[in-house]
Formats: sequence, structure tokens, C-alpha cells
Amino acid sequence: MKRFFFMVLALCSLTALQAQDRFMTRNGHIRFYSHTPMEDIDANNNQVGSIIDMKTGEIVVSALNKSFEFSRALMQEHFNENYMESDQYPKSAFKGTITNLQDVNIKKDGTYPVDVKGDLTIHGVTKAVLTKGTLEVKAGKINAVSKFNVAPEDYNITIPSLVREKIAKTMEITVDLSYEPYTK
Amino acid sequence: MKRKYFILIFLFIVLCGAGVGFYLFNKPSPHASSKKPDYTLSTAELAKAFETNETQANKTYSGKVIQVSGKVTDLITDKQGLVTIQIEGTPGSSVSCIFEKDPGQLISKGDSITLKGFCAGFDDLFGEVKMHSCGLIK
Repeated sequence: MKRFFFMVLALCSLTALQAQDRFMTRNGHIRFYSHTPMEDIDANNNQVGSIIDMKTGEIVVSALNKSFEFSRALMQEHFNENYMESDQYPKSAFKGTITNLQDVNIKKDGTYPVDVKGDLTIHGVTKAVLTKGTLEVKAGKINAVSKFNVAPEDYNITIPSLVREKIAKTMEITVDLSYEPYTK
Repeated sequence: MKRKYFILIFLFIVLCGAGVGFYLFNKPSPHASSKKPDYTLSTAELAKAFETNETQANKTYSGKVIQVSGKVTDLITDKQGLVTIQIEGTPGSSVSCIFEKDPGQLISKGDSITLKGFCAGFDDLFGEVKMHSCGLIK
């Protein structure tokens, strides 16, 4: 009986240890910003889902295009209907890995620069991307931040010449994800 | 004399047009709380619809104002102070609602609530129907 109890205890602690490798967020933040002398456009998505595995370095990020909120109704409409075609391609996603995982110690609080490599899917087009970011480890939680540029043309998003001057050639994407230990 | 009137009327029309255009261009994004819901249903029905046929459910609900009722399973406040409420759907999926401002009253896990918001679609990462710009009804 005693042995059985210890076995259960050992099993429990084992799963607890495994669970600590994975972190998740369901309310991550992605902002995109387009700057031209004629107009600034920015949109925020505060419902970004992501899982990061600190044992393998794998990261998945998933965002619904219709969760991006603009200050102007017309921009949001154009974004969903003309550019992202959100009815046809509802999601944008990233799947990749941290390539310098050996430089990150999740048991020690601190800020660690990371290199991330992976596939970014927008508007049904998948492209290999490389980016830099930082992981801030604090009290068993991880905050991941990255900033990179994306060109709409790379993802088959055509911008009519009439508004071409108002939309930047590359959008600045800011990703800010506050992970908690995975539960579910 | 007649011509002068004509010019005045013409100018008036042009000004009106420019005004309407300017208004439409700068029109702020709508708040779900001030709109009439396109659909009213339970979170279980909503989650089920996306589980059964995501494409069809997207066509019906995505981008629409919907009013849902269900039981709160979790509350999260992010670092910007935005409140996300998780609501029970089906055993396999839930409904995640982000509020544009503090819901204004104390909500706890297990409470049954009704809210209104824009449906953004289904995220299969956690099996969630996402709603944003939400406002509490009761």
C-alpha cells in the first residue's frame, strides 16, 4: 500500500516536472503598424494564443485576423475584406523554434536574447522567417517580445495603386506574449 | 441671379458630400455594446457550431455581433488591464471573451453570465471561439 502511494506520488511529480517545460498564453498581444507620410495605421490583437516548450524550444503562435482591432471602422473593414480576406483565411500563424535555447536558463530570472526560426503563415502563404527576440524569465513566468517587419507583397496581398502611398511597404509587427505554466 | 443660386446649391452639395466622406473615413470602430445582436445563443451552441463545421460557422457568426450566455470557467487580466473571461462551451472547446473595458461588476468562476461582443472565429490551438470588444449584459 505504502509503495503504491509513493508510486502515485512519483508519477504525479513526474507529470508536474513535464508540465513545467511548457508555457502558454491565450491573451497575447500582436500589434501591427504601418507608417507613411500620408497615414499611420495601427491595429491590435489582444487574443493571441501561443504555446512555448522550453525543453525543445518549439513555439506556436496563432492569431485570428478578425481579432485585430483598428481605431477606424473603415480600416478594419478593408483589412478583413480586401487585404487579409479573413473569410477565406481566418488565421495567421507562426510555427518555429528557438535556435539558441542553450543560452536560456528558465530556472534563473533574467532577460535572454533569442534567435527564432520558423514558418510564418499569413493570407494562406507560408514563408520561412528568422527573427530576434527576448525572453524575460521572472518568477516562473516568461514574457516573450519580438519586433520584425513583414511585406504584404510577400504574402500575395495586393494593395491597389490608389492607396499604395498610404500603406507602408513593410509593416512593423510587435509581438508581446506573457506565458504562464501550461495548464489544461 | 438664377446662376448664383445654382452655384450656391452646388457648393452646398459638394460640402455635404465631403462632410459625409470625412465622417465615414474617420468613423471609429463600432462597439459591440451599442449594437443590436445578430444572433443570441448559448456558449455551448456557439462552440458546438464551430466544432461541427468551422467553415459554415465562420460564415454565419464571424464578424457579427452575438449575444451569448454561459458559465464562467476562468478570468484573466493581462498586463494592459484587459479582462478575458473564459466561458464553458462543449467538453472540447470553450468561448474566450475579451472586454473593451472592465466588466464593471464582480464576476467569479462558476457564475452564469450573458454578454455581447464581436465573434472573431475559432482558434484550434486551445479549441476556443474568440469574441472581442465584449460588454456584460448580466
